[in-house]
Amino acid sequence: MIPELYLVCIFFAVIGTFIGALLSLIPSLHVYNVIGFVMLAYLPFVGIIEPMHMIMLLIGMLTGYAFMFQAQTILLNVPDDSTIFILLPGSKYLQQGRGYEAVMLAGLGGLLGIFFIVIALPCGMLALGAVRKLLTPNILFLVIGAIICFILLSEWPKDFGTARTRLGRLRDGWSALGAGYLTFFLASVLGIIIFNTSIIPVDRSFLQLALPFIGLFAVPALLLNIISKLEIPKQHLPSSVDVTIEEVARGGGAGCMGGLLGAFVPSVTAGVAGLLAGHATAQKGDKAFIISLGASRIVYYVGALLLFFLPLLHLRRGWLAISINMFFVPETTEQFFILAGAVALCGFLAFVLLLGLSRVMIKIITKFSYRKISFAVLLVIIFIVFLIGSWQGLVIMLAASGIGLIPVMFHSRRLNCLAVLLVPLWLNIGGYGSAAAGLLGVL
Amino acid sequence: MKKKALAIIFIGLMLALTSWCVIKLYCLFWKFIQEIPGGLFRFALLAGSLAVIVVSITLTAYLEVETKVPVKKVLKRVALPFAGLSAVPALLLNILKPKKAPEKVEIYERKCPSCGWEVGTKTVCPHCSARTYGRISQKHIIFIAATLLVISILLFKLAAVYSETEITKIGALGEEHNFRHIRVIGKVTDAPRFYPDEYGTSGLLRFYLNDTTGELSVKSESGVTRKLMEQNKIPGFGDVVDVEGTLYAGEEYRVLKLRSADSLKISPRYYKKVPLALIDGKKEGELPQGELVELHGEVSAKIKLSFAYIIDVADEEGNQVTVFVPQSIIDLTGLGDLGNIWQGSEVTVRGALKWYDSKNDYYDRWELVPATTKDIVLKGIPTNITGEPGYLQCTISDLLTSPSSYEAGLVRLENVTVTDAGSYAEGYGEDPATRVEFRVSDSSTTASLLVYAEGGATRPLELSLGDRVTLQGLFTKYGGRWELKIRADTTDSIEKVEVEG
Repeated sequence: MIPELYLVCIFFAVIGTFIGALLSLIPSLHVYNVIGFVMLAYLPFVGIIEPMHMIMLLIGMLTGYAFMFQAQTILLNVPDDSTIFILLPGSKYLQQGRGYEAVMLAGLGGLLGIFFIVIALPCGMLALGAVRKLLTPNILFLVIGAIICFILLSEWPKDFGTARTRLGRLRDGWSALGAGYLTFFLASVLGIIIFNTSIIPVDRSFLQLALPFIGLFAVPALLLNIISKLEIPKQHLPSSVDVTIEEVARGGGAGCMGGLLGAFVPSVTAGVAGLLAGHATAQKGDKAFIISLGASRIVYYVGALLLFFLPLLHLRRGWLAISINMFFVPETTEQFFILAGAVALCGFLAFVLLLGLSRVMIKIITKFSYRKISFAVLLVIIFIVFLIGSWQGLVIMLAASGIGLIPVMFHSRRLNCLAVLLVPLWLNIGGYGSAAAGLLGVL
Repeated sequence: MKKKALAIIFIGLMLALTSWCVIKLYCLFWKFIQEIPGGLFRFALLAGSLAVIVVSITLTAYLEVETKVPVKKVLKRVALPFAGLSAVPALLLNILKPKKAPEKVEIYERKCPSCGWEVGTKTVCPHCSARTYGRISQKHIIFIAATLLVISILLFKLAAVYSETEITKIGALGEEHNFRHIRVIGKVTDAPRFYPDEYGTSGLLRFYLNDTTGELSVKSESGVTRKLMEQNKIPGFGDVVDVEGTLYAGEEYRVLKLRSADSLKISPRYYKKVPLALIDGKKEGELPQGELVELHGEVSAKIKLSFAYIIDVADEEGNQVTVFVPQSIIDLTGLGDLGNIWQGSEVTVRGALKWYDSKNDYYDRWELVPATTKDIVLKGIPTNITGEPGYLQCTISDLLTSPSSYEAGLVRLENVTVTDAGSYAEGYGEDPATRVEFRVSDSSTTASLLVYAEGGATRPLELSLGDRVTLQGLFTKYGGRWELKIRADTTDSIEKVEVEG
């Protein structure tokens, strides 16, 4: 490419960042849903619009979304699969009038993620290449299996309760644990069904996976907001954040490590990967945790695309990389540096937008009743789901919402909901996917 | 021009944006350094520039292994200017010895900076447990974020360094380079081969390159070939081309696949005018293989083979040179003037010299292979098979009795009858942009002839069985059958003859 044309690339990336950030203001609308439609619209024009320009637009959208959606999770309590873990500490901050500070912490994590992917990834390409060679399907099967074991085992230990009889204590002990395992089981079944059948209209079936996620994570959180009559106290807009350099380093380090794990291992999303990395680095405290998940999310989403362009690696992970590969094959070192440069630029822009737009969101949530906002958001989500999947989509969302409500009602962990993605992919990698689908009669 | 205009607009926009950012950053920057000790700042600046150099060198060292871009080049273009830009101000700050930044005084705020509750002189907020001291300012975070802009510029600069793919010698390519993006420059060693797809509008293009260290096959798939055809970028025998793409290498093969038409650059062709006598009768090795020359003479013979046209060009003294036009070149670059050239036509031909080794010394000779059919230029008015200008009037019987005599010739059929309306009967005739087929016959024979009109050709929009038409076009063979082709953008035409009464 002629270096003068980099300016056009920058223009597309900047436009993409604004689009991504603005789209993130629409509750539960995942940028991948929009990108899916953008791709469908672009494919007939592949020969007319330069692919690199399109990629710049997409990376801008992704970066804008990855930053901005954190504000939605913290301020509106509308999480997705990768922000579900911020929900609790985010709510705590919000109830203390520190929602903006929590957004700043998540944004700081995101910035660290951007620094990591544009500086450390290219320096470590040989090491990453070696890791990739290690991750054969057999090893991946074992790794994902180990993560599933971690999720199941980490439900323990639970409170045995204070019932007087042994049976009573057994019931107390197993109520939350049983609910957690039931969630895991039902989410797995839902995942296997979703992975093996096209329930929504075929022309939009590539968006089918978004629907259970909305049902599992966003809808229960909103219902909880409505039922619990939650009201948001006046929010303070601080000019500084209460965090130490050590917390930033620990959170950022764990987040980047987790995000990289998520970007490398299929079906392991940013949230669970960040959590694992947090455990691995003995992370403690809400501040480091929020920073960690902010970083993990950026590395998971944006880093995965950079890995696809990274010379000597070209690892195709993540929905966007797979979609881009439909019309483009990255080949040159120049393309990688253009993309990395755009990511650095979009990262800065998205961070500034995050600070600005989250102030607007805070004004809205403190001006209007939080219940009413949650109700309005729920209606928007139902409308989006209907647009994506028609009435069949609403059925999927309802079924997933039922599963997602179990941990909310029985105080077990929402982490179990991730079985919707982990289990079917784990079975597919192991070669048991068809057998499992056959057992459920969905083949 | 469009690209230039776009670039200028964006440069303007980006300059405005950058100026605004620079002013904002400048303000933030001075506020920031007032809050930290000057020595620490200068140390950080120097350490930062050193870190950039180290990172750049490490990065380049990794990349050099694969892309062969020398470290020196990257150092010169990126690391050193950047280090200079950051280190010089740091050194200046040391020399000028600016005012020492005021010592930081811990001020206990009356309100919690996190939640806004009253905290008095407490260092930890009793409401939210946030500390009121030792916090990181939002401005500092924005300042740190702004360094991403510098990193972004650096990365774009690095992209510019790698914008030109390093040239690789063909002989150095092996299996270890499989799937790599590589660039080679070499000479095309034979006319390109073309395998048309179903519709014949594009297909697989393949040619061979030699850079004196080895030979490599270059191919392009249908989409890229179509673009090459549209841009008239079909490499010819003897061309020097600069090509980059993905390498597929095995034990006994090396194939470079073109990803886009822009990845192929053909050096300008400079032809040397030579008399036929200089070529005729020369032995192998006496002339340079692949040299580009221009000849002028009269056509003494034109032979159509299934795979090529062979045209003998002669001068007044009896010297003769054969022009070999492979069918692939016609498929890729069109028929050009070939349809109008017959024995006696005066032509100028440009092409590359090639030694034809027939395994029989008698037939061995130097031939001229043109890069495109546009390199065969007919002088004077186009003539038909009889040497007369314009279309040759004949009957269907003439054409079908000895078709090879008329092949690739311009013919005219007057007042013939439509015996099968074909596409017209199916309703495709109404759109002038659509191609149509139908059959005609005349009183000379009971057999009928297929007429094929290209989209956009001059033709009536309605025709039906029994209509009379006058046709003029190119008599040719397609898919094993003879047809009269009515070409678009030529004087070829179909005219409906109005029958009185």
